[in-house]
Amino acid sequence: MVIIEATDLVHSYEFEGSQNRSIDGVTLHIEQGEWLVILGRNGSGKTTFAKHINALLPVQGGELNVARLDARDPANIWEIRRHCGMVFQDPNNQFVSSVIEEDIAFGLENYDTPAGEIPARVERALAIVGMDGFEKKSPHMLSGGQKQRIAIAGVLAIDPQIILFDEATSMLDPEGRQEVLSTIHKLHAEEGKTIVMITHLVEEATLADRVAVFSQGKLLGVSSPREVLSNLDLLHNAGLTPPLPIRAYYDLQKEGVTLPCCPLTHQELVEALCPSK
Amino acid sequence: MNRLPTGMYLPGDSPIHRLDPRVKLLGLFISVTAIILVRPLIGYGVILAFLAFTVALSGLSIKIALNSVQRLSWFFLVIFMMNTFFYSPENAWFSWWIFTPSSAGLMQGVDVVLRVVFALVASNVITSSTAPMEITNALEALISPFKLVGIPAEQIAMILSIAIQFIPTFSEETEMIRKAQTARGARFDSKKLTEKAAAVLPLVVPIFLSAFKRADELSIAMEARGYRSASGRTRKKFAPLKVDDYFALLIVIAICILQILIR
Repeated sequence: MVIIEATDLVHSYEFEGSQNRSIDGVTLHIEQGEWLVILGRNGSGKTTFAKHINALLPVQGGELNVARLDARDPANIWEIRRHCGMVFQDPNNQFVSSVIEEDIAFGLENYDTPAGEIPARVERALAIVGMDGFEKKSPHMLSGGQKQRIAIAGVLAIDPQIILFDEATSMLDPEGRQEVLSTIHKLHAEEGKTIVMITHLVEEATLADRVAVFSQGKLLGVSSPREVLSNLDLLHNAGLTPPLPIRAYYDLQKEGVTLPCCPLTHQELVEALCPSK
Repeated sequence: MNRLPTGMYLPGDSPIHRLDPRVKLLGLFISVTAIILVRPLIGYGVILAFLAFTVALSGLSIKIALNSVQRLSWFFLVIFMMNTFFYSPENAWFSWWIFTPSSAGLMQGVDVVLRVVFALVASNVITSSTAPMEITNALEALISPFKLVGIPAEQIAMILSIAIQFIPTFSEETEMIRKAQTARGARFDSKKLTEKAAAVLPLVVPIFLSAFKRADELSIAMEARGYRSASGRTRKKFAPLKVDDYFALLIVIAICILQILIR
């Protein structure tokens, strides 16, 4: 079942007297329970697209339905945001309280959740992101990865069907990035959430069910990670560099070594080079 | 993080932690009034004993209670010197240029500094023993009668809560910018007041820019989490005041009345 349905979506902004299109006729359908990565360079329009899904930007042209709600209708804005949570790049700019449980309760309070229900929902959200026991702590005492997991719990407490991650790992160190990616994997696999992940890190695209490539406001292509990431022309047109295993595959091919298949991950590359292991 | 941010909440289960936040906030207001009213030496003694008792009861260390006092030592020194040298030209020890140091000025300097230190300690105890959202809710409850005359109580309380939450972020950021400026030759360690002041200026612009950027990103994040306005949100219902709450309130009121009587 399609949960996000964008048809010929357009968004323009005025810059130095002329109209520029940050989203230019994007048609993209996302299935419920799917993990979609939106890949693109800075300024490719991927964040603008995500902000439309969360109803943070009004639809200027085209159609957009999120969780069967028409995003063009201003009356649906708050219901769309209840169904679709969003995690941003810098966790420090997402906290409204210096006590974790209060911060996670923020979204629930905005939707006038009965006060008696709030503690249990906060506890559950923290347990899902593996941060139980941190209720009374301050987010400022945590590592980058832990802070981002708290930000995810803040969104998760509202129990949205869709979670958007807008470059949510780009400010983290490798360990923090891994923590957040594992959490996203858990939300997708165990909680059945629809994940839309905005990133410019091509390696992260390997985790998804499908990858959509944006460039200059246009959707250049959408397919499986293997098809997208091994399509050098597509990545080149989007100004992206393929992941190391794919670069190695093509470099080896130039040197006359042909591997049985194009490896997507480091592990696949090792297996392709040493099939006996 | 090098130092504990001023007024940061430290969870605990002390009698002060357990008091109703409305009582704590009202108690702080009355205590500060008593501190303003203090006159004779015995008055200072009463306030000092009260604060020492409160700090001990809260389970907070003296270091935490005096946290912001240490940071403001320069401010206190300036206030003290200004009072000593400019307060009273009568009975001055000597007179030189615009300076007229006197015993009355010295006493006034000590008086002003002590009052501010007392008020800071009292507020430190409250902010360190009360969760920010509890302070917000208590403030909202206390100022809610003013809604009748158009004062947006919920918005004021929300602004206060966010301001408290951003203190550690800005303190870390200031430290980071300070280090970056030091690496580029700024001299914050200079003993000269003029150099010190000149070095602070380049800190102000990036901190302001960052504050605006953060405010913008936070407002988007709040909207994304369903924030419309402070009204229409789940309201915390306060439990009725307990005996301890009434007792605490009575003590601070008694101290305030005592300060009026012994003036």
